[in-house]
Amino acid sequence: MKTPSSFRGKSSKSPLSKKTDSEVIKLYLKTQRSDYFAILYKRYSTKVFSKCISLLKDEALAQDATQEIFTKIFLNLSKFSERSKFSTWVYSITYNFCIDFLRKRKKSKALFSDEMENPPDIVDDVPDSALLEMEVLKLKKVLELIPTGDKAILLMKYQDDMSIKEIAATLDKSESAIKMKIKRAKHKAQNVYRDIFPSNLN
Amino acid sequence: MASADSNNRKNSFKKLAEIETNQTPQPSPQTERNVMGTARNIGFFGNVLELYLSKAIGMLSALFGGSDLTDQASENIQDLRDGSFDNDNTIEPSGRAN
Repeated sequence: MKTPSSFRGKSSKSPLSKKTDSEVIKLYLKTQRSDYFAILYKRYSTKVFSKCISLLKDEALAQDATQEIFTKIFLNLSKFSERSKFSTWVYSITYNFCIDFLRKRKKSKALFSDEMENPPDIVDDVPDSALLEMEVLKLKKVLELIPTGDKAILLMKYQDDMSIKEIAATLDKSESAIKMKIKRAKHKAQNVYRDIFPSNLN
Repeated sequence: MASADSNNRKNSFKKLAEIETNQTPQPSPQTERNVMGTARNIGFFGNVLELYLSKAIGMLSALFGGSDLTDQASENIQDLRDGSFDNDNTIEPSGRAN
């Protein structure tokens, strides 16, 4: 098989490295060359792997998850519609996979605060700024201590800028259910923050 | 770019993502080999099916007594049966073939 000229020499300055995700996907779908898929893998594998480690908390599981997620991405690439960014689509598959995996593994444990037996009543809305302006290392600690589903939904909203509609599609829930989950997750995060950093009340 | 930086400054989630991505090693080369191997295999079998499936169905059909001829071939046979075939090798009155 011939190698496209842009692959020869593997130079980082090759025109392919400058192509957008959308252009690379179109090239892949047109030619079915796995080399084009390799470009997408290189662009996103570390970010996907990092998210898997963060949600699954196990590097070996994260390796397997990354492999399965990219196989899913490959098999469904022709179904990718450009209604959302490719990165958003990749991350939604990642979150979906990790949440499904954790649900299967921890059948009895609730993944989200609102799935717990007695979810707390929410009186006030936690302002976005309370989370967005939190010190990074403290935020990291808080995210480690809240239920994984709450963490995933906060990451989708504040880290990956996914819309309520996109989160709802990812988790196969209604938009109002997602709004409630976000509200409860923010509330949970704030409570954990107050518990572990009582001197930093805001 | 500047607006993205200022956005990151206000958003601890994005800063955390940056830190975690920088600290995370790449997935193992074995993972990459497995993913790309799957992609190549699926691509190969997809091409094989696309190229040969129609022929395989034709052969199976012929094997079980059906016709595997294309529409054009069927039309030609019908023309032959009707005696209206057009053949360039017909003998001219002079006795020479065209």
